[in-house]
Amino acid sequence: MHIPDGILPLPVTAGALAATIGLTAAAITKIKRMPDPREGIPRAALFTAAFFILSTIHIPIPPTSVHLMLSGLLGVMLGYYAMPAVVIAIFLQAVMLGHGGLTTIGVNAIIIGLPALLCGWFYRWMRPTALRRGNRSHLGLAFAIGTFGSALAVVIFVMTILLFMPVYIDASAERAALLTLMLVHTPLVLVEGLFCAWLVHYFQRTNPELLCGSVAGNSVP
Amino acid sequence: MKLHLSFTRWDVRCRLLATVLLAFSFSFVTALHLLPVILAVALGFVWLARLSPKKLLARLGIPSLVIVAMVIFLPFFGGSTVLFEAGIVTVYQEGLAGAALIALRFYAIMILVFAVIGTLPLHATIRAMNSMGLPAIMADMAGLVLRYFHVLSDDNLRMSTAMRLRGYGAKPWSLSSLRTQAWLWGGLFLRSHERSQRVYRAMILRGYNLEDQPSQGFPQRRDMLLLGLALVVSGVIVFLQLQAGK
Repeated sequence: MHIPDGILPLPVTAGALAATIGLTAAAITKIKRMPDPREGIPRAALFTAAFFILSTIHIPIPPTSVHLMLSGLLGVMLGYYAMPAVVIAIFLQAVMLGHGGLTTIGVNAIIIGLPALLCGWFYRWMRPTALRRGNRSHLGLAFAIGTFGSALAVVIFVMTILLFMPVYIDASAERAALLTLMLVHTPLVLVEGLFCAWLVHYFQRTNPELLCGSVAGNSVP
Repeated sequence: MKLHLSFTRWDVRCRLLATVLLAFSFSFVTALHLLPVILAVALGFVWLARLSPKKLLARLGIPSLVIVAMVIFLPFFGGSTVLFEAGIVTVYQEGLAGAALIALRFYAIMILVFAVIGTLPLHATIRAMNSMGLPAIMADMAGLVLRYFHVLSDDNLRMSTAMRLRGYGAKPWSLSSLRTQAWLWGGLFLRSHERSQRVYRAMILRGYNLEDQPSQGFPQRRDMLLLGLALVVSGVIVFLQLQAGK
């Protein structure tokens, strides 16, 4: 799900980099407004490491292979810390493993980070209602968020590739490629939804303070 | 020999800036005749970094699979000018050119990054990025991420072994296996999270503060000369591309 170097033209990579810098700066401004911004750093680093490890495990689904993206889960667990976490993980993956690329850091950060931020907002908004309605409702919300985050990341990825690849591909081949990529990622989207639901439910039962990007009263404004 | 020594002692901030400049100028190239030029520039850095071909090929292995999977169909579906036809297989000129452009640009940038940034210790890279304006929160997170790779990997290995000893056998494509894995990672986060909070608080109590790090000082003349050289090479590549596009 990471776009490598060399595929996209310069205006796209430069524009996405500018957008990523803007989004990350906005997220860091929000983090700095918290009573103790440093309180959430170890947890964000821990999730960044986990995101790094889990997203390097490739699941073969012919004719390609896919990996977990965890956009929804990152948004739920980290809130505004999700955007800097994604940027760091993508930079380290590019430099250490050659997964993704240096010029496409901006594009890849938007593919994973934007859904994560949206999922974080959505979860914070819906969580009180879901908890009032009971465990099943909360589990359903976490599943919906995990699925939505992953599906949105797939849509942004596919649209970016098909719109900006520097080769003219005829409409029928483009539609076939779009359909194949969507079909290949459908099981992954469902798996991400389930993984997110079970993990969020686990934290809700064991340590609910970990959810919603808050640590020991360091609530997200 | 002297140039090689200068390269290995090159200021990390200048290295990062030069890599970003060159990588973006490489991604600007769309003229096919410039592709060997950018590949030669990237290989020049491999020579300067004294990176062995064996190491380079090993690092390019997995990224190559991704790029091949992405461009392999282009010659057959991209474009309208038929170059070659055999039965139901048709190779288009534009598709073949597009595949070559994408693949060679990819290799040039990847080789450059491995040679110039990949040969640096990651802590030095993060410290240099911090001194160039990366927010302290992000620099702090990046430093801790490097530590948590090992913490999470060790804990994962220990907990997976404990699960296997208690009779757990993972079945691929099974929902119960996926749920067990989710709970395993949940347990891992909880354990590691409590420990990470304690360690970080102890670090702060002992005076750790990335915002108060001493300044790295202005790069030396030799470092600036090398950065200037990278700037000139990037400028030449962009100029040649603009000329080719006219």
